[in-house]
Amino acid sequence: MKILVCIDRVCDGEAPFTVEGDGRTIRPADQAAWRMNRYDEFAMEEALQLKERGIAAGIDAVSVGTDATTVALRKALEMGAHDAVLIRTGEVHLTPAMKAHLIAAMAADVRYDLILAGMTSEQGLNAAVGPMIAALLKIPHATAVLKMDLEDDCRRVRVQRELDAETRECFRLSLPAVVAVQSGINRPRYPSLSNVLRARDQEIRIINASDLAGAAPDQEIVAVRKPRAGTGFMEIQGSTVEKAEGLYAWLHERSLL
Amino acid sequence: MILAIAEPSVPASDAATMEAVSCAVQISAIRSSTVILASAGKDFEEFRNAEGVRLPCDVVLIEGQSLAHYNAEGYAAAITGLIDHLNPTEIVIAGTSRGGDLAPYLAMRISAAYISVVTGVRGEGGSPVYTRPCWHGKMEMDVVSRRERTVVSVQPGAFSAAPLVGDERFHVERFPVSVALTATEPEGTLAVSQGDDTGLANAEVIVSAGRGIGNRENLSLLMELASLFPRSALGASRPVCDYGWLPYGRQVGQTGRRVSPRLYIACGISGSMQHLAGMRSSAHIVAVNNDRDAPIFRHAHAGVVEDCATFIRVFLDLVKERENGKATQSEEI
Repeated sequence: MKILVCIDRVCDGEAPFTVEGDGRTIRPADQAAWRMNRYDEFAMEEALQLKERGIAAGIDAVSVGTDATTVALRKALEMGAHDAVLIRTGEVHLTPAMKAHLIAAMAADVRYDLILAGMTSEQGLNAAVGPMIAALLKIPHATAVLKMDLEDDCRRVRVQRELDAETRECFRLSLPAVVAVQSGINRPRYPSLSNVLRARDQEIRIINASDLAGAAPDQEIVAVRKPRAGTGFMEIQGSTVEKAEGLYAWLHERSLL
Repeated sequence: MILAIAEPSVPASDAATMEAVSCAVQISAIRSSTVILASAGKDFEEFRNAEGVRLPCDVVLIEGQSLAHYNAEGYAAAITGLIDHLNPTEIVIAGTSRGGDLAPYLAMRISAAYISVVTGVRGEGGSPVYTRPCWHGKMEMDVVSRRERTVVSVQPGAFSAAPLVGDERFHVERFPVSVALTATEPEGTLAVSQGDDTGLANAEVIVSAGRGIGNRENLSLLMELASLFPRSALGASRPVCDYGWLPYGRQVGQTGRRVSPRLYIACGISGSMQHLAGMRSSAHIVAVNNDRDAPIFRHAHAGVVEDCATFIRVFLDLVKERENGKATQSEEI
């Protein structure tokens, strides 16, 4: 069977950033590191385990964005994806619906048996692209999946999705299907040296977004800002020792220590 | 009109449903419109008999086969039928596990805009402007829809679970649909054990570990910190459990345990929405994190911007020094 894994690129969460003059664009510092979305590592690992069990014949990784997005695809190749596809767009804000339309258009041509995605993007926090691809391709899906098994000669996938800490919800989905995995479904591997070397020279296939049936933005950002801090917050300042003394005093005053 | 969707397979008075209704009521005020709450797969009597359920809107019960258990395929088809009938401008769904599974799928099926994890809404020129988190939860953004129809998912806890203008005498109507599942077979729910009792439920003080503690070895520092307090327990953020540093039984958050101890010390935890949902109601929250912009500081009462391990070492030394000092003093007396 053939698997597609949807990969997103995110900026390191701790990198400094500024808001541009337009008041609605966040610009990370030039030295900020970009990498694969952590949730997508779990999706890649799930695909690789299917390959190792002889179930998956081919694994393609796909990402939507500018040339800079290849950093995430390179990581997918290092982990063990066979091919990587960049759906190249200009430097525009991409909503989940825009990404889903492009990936669905690309996937419709290839006819994948299984499309895997991470549950959400750490950066965008939408958790939407997976289910949207399913709706566009008119195939079933499940999100927050913590266990998946293929059965019936790979005609169906049996999934457990997370409802809360103590409850899961179980489905059998006919393939093709989209499965968006929750973090913790597996332990994503570190790329082996041989795979890193192989990935370094491998070509990433590029499809221009303008050649696919995309969608216009479904929403517009009108402002970004720092959320208001909660009331009653006190930052304890000073040298490290002074901060320790400050916290000690703070806890003491409240009879907590 | 604005359509709110009830959380599937839970009692009629469920908080997530009421929060979605609250958001829908706010949108209806902006649009000078009305709200209808749609509930799929629930039986009529449950809503009628649910004591104390007050609603600021009427209810439509979507009835049909394939809706007994939540499943995206059946629910989306059934709700799409109702949407064609009622022609709502906004469809509001709680951002729970099931709501988050359904909402983006439904949005694409009906070619609507999808605005997720909404934490607030205000009007501008008679149209809603939504606030939602972005950039790793460190920033928030205002967005407007660019489609005639919009599906909105609501961040749990962001809107009131008690719509004040409610009335017990709401009208309930039935909307029968015929939905056949073609690709989904629901198999019901499954209880999973998270292992040993970790003492989190009864702890007065919880010291919680996040990715920012750096490595597994530094957990011993947190244990030492916890041991300063009687009735304390060690908690964790989801990534720490994903790494296998601590078992999932220690995970605090929306998908873990919900706790509200007297004191919660978040060490190297950035404060994802997921985590905050599980500990926000703690009486005192202390956060230690080297990132001044970490969302956890917005919900903490006291905060220290420092590398976690370094700070805890210094703090432990200080406490030892003070305790020794006390011991010496009492000897002198």
